[in-house]
Amino acid sequence: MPLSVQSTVSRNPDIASEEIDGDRVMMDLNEGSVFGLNPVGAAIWDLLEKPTPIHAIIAHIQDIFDIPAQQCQSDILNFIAAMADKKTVSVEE
Amino acid sequence: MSNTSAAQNLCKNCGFCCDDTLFPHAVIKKDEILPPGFVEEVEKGKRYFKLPCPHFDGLCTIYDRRPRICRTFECSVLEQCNKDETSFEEAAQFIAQLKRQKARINRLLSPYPGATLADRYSEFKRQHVAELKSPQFRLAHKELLMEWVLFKTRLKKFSPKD
Repeated sequence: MPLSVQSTVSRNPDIASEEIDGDRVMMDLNEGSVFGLNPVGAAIWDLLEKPTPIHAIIAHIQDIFDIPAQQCQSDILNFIAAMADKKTVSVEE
Repeated sequence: MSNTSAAQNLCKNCGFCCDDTLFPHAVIKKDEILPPGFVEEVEKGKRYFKLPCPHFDGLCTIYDRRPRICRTFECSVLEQCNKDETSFEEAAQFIAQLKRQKARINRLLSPYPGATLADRYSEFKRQHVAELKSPQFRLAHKELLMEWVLFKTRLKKFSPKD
């Protein structure tokens, strides 16, 4: 599904997450795969404690990290698309 | 502090190449005769001594008589420090972080017997082989499962670069 800034992103409840020594580590409980998130990814994951529209994610990340607006939007759309491909999150219009 | 003494301090505070954190065994050089106490094994025609080293007690207790491999081996973390790609302080912090993580994994594996951390993790997997693929089991043991993967990933920093 094409992503837009109006799309709403939700966590997959079958992904467990832990912060270990400042590193965000995730585990897909169905697959058993373990992977990490960079600080921006971790901030997005924290925000997704409840379903969140992409425009709110972009605003939140711009508040925390010093990333130019256009690059921030493009990076976040790519990141969400990659997370959705891996079924780490789901996206609704 | 000179690079040599900084390197010595780093190694003294680490010991991961002695205590089997990095390797299950170490190479015995050709025609080398080891001091007593080592357990030798042969794999594909090559001689090794088993780790953890019986002469490692936080520090090397046979430093002047240590095997040749112990005199020449340089892990990737030390190599990066010597090339000024990483500072000794950063490397020391990384090692301290790994030691704390080892202690946490040790606690999580306390119900499982074994001589080494890797043995105990294998025992954990052996005892739960039927449940390991269950999401409920993974959720109940997520701390250990995630710590273990992160620990093994971090240890790769010690391996020589390809």
